[in-house]
Amino acid sequence: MAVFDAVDYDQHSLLEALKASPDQEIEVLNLNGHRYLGCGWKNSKRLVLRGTAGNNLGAFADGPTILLYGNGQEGVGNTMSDGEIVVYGRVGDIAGYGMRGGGLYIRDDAGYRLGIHMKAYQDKRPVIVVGGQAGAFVGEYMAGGTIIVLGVNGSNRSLIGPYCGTGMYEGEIYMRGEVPRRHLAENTKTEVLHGEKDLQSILPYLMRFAAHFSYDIDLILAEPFTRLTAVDKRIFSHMYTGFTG
Amino acid sequence: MLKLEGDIRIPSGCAIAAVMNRSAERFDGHTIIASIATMHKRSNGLGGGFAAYGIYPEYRDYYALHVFYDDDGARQMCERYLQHHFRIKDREPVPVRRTRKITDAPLIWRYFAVPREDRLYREQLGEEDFVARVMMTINSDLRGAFVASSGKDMAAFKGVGYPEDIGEFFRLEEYQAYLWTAHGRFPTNTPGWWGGAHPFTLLNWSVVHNGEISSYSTNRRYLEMYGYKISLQTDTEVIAYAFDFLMRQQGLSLEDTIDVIAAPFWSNLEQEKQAHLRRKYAGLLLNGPFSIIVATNNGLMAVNDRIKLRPLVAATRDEFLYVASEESAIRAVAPVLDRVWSPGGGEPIIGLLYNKKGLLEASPVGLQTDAQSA
Repeated sequence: MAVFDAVDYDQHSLLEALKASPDQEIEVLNLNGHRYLGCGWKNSKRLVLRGTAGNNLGAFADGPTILLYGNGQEGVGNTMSDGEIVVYGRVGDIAGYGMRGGGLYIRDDAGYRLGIHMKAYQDKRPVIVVGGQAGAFVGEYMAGGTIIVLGVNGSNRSLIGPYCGTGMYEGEIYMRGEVPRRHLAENTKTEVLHGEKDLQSILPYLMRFAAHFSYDIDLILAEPFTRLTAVDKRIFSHMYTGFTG
Repeated sequence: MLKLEGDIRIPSGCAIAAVMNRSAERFDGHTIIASIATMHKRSNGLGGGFAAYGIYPEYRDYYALHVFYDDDGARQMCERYLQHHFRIKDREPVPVRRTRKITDAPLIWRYFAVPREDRLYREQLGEEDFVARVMMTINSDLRGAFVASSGKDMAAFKGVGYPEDIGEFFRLEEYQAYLWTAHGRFPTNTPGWWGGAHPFTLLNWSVVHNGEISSYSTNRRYLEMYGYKISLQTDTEVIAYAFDFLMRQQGLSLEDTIDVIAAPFWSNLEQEKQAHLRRKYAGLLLNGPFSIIVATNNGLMAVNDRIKLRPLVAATRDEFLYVASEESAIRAVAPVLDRVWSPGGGEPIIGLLYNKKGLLEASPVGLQTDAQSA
C-alpha cells in the first residue's frame, strides 16, 4: 500500500502522484481541500482518504472504491459511473450530481441538491444513501436510480428540505419516516412501506449502509419508509412540443 | 489567436471567509490570510480584500477613513475636501510592503477624523448620515479618489491581486482584530480594479460576497431614491447600502432584514409580516445566487440566497466562530472543531460578541416603531 501525505504536495502534484502510483491500495493523509481526488479513475483501486476532501471527490469515477474519513465538500460523486464512495462524515451540495452508476454512502448530512439529474440505464443503477438529513431539491430532474435518506444520526432538523423530486420523471426516493407533503413536488406520489418485506428491493443498500457505519439493520427498519416516485413520466412535453401523447 | 471557451478553464468562483472571537479577544491577520489562501483556486488574482474590526482602539471615537488616490493631485484635492468637513486628528500613509505580486497600487492614506460641528449643524444631519454622505460624494464626484472604508475602529484593506498577496502587501500580520472577514475575487461582468475589490463598506458595515446580484439595477434604482450614490461598478456595493438602509435608517431587525433581502417565495410565505416586508421593500430583494458575510463592530451575519446557489460552511470552536465558502478554509486554521454545519438557503448564521444584542447598537426609535407596527 502506498501512503501519501498531502502536506507534501500541492493540488496538481498530488493528483499526478496518485495517478502514477502502481499500488492497488493508496492512502492519503492530511487532506485539506484538495480537489478532484479519484476523478475519472477507471480502475478497481482502493483509495483511503483522511481529512477534508475538496470539491468533486470521485467525479466521473468508473470503478474505484473511495473511503473518506472526514467530510466532503461540493460535488462528491459528480457524474460517477461505477465503484463506491463511502464518506465517514458529511458532504456539501450537489453530491451525486448526474450520477449514473455505483454507490455513494454518506454517514451524516448531505447539502442541497442531492442526486439531481441522477439517471439509470440497463444494469447501471446508481444509489445514494444518506444517514442524516438532506437539504432542498433532493432528486431534482431525477431520471433513474435510488436515493435513500435515513435520518438515523439523531439530527433534529427535518429529514428533507423543500422541492424534493421537482421535475423528476424516473427513479425512486426513499425517506425513513413521514415526510410533509409540502416539501414534495407536485408531480410525485408517495406510499408508505413497512419492514423488510416491503423494502426488499432496497434491503441490500440498507445492509451495506449498516455495515459501513456499524448500524443495527433492525433499528433502521424499525420505522416506516416513504417512497416517492413520479406520476407522469413526460412532465415537460407540453412546454416544448405541444404534443401530449 | 483568441482562445475559445473550452480551450481554457478557470475553475473559479470567488471565496469568502470570516474568523471571529466572540469574547472580543484580538488576534493578528495571519489566521484570516491562512484561511482565505486555502481557497486560492477560487479566485483569479483580480481582487482580494479583508475587513478588520477592533484594530484601532486608540482611535475608538474617530472615524477611520481609508482612502485610495490615483496620484498626489487627487490626494491634495480630497484632503482639502475632507478638511472642510472633518476635524482630522491624525493622518498617514497606510504602511504597505512592496512586493512583486502586487503592482499598480494607488496611493493609500488613512485619516482619523470627526465631523466638524459647524458642518453638522449647517447640514442638519446626524453624524453617521453626514459621514456616509461625504464618503459617497468622494466616491462619485472626486476624480481619482475613493474611500475604501469609513467606520470606527475598523478598516477595509483591499486591492487587485490574490487575497493572500493583498494581505502581505498591507502587512496584516501587524494588526490585531477580534473579527476578520476576507474575500478572493473572480470578477464576473464587472472590471477588476482596486475600488471594485471586496469588502464593500459604509460606516461600520462591510460586505464580502460570492455570487451575482441579478437584481442589481432594481436594487440600485431603489437605493438611489434614498440618496445612496452607487459608483463602484460592482454589484456587491448595493448589499452594503441595503443593510445600511434597512437596519440603520429604517430600524428593521436583522431577522426582518433577511426576510427582505432573501425573502421566501410567495408560495412559502408563512407569516403576514413577511408578505408585508416583501411588498414594502420589494426593490431590495436580492435576486440571483449569493453567499455573503456582513459584518459590523458587533459581529457578523452570513447568509445564502433563498435557494442556496453558493456554498457556505460555518463552524465553532470555543469562543471562535468560523465561516467560509469551503470547509477546508476553516480546517486550515482550526483542525479540531466543536461543530460544523451548512445553513439552508435564506437561513442566517449570526455571530455576535457575547455582550452585544444586535449588529447595530440601537435603532432610531421613531422608525423602529414604524417598522414594528408593520
